[in-house]
Amino acid sequence: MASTSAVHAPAVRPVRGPRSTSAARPRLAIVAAPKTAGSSMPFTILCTLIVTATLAALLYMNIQMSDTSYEITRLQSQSQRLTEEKQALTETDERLGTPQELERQARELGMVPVTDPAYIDLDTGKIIGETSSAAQTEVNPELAPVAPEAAVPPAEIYDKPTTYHGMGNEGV
Amino acid sequence: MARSRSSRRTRTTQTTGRPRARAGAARMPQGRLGAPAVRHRLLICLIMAAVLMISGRLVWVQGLDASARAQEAIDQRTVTRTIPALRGDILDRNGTTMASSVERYDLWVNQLQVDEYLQGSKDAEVTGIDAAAQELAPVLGWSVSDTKAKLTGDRGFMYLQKNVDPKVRDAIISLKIPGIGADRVADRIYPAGSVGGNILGFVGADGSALAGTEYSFDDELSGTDGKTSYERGAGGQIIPTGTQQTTPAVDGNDLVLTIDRDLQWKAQQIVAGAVDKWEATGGSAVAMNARTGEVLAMAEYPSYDPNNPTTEDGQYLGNRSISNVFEPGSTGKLFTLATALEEGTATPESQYEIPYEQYFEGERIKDSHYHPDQKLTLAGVLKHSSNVGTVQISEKLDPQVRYDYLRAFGLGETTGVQLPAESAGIVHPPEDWTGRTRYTTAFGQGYSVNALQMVSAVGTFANDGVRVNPSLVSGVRQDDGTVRPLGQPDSTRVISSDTAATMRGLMDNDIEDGDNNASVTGYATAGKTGTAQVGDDGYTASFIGFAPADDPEIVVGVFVFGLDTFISGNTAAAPAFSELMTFTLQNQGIPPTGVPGREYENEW
Repeated sequence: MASTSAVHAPAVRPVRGPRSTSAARPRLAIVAAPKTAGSSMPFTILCTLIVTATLAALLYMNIQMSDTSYEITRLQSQSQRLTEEKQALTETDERLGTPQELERQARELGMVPVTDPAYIDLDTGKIIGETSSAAQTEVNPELAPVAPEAAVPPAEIYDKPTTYHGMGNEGV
Repeated sequence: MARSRSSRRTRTTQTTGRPRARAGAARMPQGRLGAPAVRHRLLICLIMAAVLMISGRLVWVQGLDASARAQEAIDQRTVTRTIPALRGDILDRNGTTMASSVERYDLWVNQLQVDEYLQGSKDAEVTGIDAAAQELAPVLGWSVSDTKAKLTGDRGFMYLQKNVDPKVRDAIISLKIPGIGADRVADRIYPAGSVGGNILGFVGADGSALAGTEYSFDDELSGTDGKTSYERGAGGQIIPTGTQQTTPAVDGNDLVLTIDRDLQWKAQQIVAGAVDKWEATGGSAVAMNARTGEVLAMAEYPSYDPNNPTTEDGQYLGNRSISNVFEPGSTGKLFTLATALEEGTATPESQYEIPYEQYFEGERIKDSHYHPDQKLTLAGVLKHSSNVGTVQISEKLDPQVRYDYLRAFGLGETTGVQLPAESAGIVHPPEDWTGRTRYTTAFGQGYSVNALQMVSAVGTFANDGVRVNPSLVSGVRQDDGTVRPLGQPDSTRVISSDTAATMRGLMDNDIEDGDNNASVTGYATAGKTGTAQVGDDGYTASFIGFAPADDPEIVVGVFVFGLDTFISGNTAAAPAFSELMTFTLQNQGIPPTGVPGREYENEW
């Protein structure tokens, strides 16, 4: 196009402007307006949501974990306390069940050792051995003889003075 | 450049004569303008240097030195704790606890810190050690002055009291006295105290087994400690994301004894009563199942409380029934008679002429009490416990044969009962039976035995001629409650079934029903007394027997040591035997057989 305008240059000078203008005008065609990319907002929100949700989940899990951890500690100390309670009860049970203690309590109730027990043969219904009612049942329990029975003393763990005067619920 | 431009502007302003408003700018001080470029560079340099430093540090900490640093942090918050293995319990034959492990606390004090108690408090009238002592004293059960003395000083660590109950520890910790703390420890308790103390033994303060069954079966009883390590937060809680490693503790096994605790207690009462009554120095009693060899009770007096084995000086912490050896005396005649019957050199009806004293190759043998010449059968020799008669019977036997039988009855060797410090006793071989020994061994002198051996040996007659080694431990309790036995006791046939039956008859003949110190109401009882002098330590009186005589279930032996004067077994030991046998038969639920005791012709 440049060479053409040079050949006709003198003649067409006056109209050069408009002509060249018209010649250079680009052929316009209606094109569809480029589709706008649309708002970036939803994507941003999505990303934000994902990040937030992740963070929230992480936070929640961490809270849960440390909560559980505290719970474990609490339960462990509860378990320890209950173990000690059970142990204390077992010890009381064992102390009350010792032969020495049973004998003492039985005598306080006025009971006496059996001397001549009789047996019943379950097959024949026969009574084996002769028995008589135990003596001393009417005796004042205070007077029941305990002399040689003091020979085996109670365990020394129970002989200590009661050292505890609290309510039993301290340190809970 | 900037300066020239601005001065030009100033000049223009002046020439054009613009309004005064512009004139103010002209008077702005030159210094305010400064040199921004230089300052920027300086600032940037500084920032760069700082960033470089920080990032350098970052690289150092995160990159180059990371693992070491992280480890240091982990080490700081990681704690490792030992999980102590619980020592197994010791139970009696019915599952009653005889020894168990419990948790206790050792209370300690840092005396340097106690004075800080209540110092910050505005409304406390008493502060410091005085206040602490006042609060602590009632909980510990001490006087205030004693408590104060314990709290005062400059020791950084001192035990206040050991082995306190968890409740006491809680009460003390809740007082929040500075410098007072508690360590958890395991303690061993024996609920029934001295009942069975000699069998159970005890453990030391550090938990190591020192005596008795605790010592012999330490491998079964003691477990293996475990440990746990975890990362710990400020509040002591476990950090959940941290590493945790736990090796669980393996608790010890529970040991089941053949002892019956009630019977053991009764036996101890009876022995104590007999020893006190006759002012002896000590005593033993053994009750045994004749068929299985299970020792139901092995009592002695004086005994000790394993909860506190070292309270009294010089108290005996062993087991007389197996460690104290003595000459059996007349109970030894049973073995001579059994040998003669088994070897066929005598029958229960064999006839002997018994003077009060008789010389055998120049050795004078006499009976315990004077009597005119007697015509006794073998049964009568046993019933009258004649030394002369027994020597006459034994003289038809070769000493080697008699020795072999004594050994076969288990004398001169340990019973295998698996308790520490058992003494085998001494039975010299026949070539050493010089002078009197050849004769005295016939009636239980010149060799020594322990109480359990004797009861086990006499039990041979009760168990139809088969000797079963006594046992004290029936096994280890499994998780499902069954008991895993720790090996079967050995049993050996010593004499024939017939001879054993004859011996039972002879021993039954020895004890008249209902009319003897040793007889048991309602039951035919068989037994033999024994008395022997023990050097200068006085006399040992004993009684060993079994019941029901026709079908024996229980063998009982009672031994009273260190009698000042000659007190026969019939006087000192037989009543205790009767009482213990009566209780054992009841305790084990053995009914009378209803068969009356056998009688032999004692004289001819």
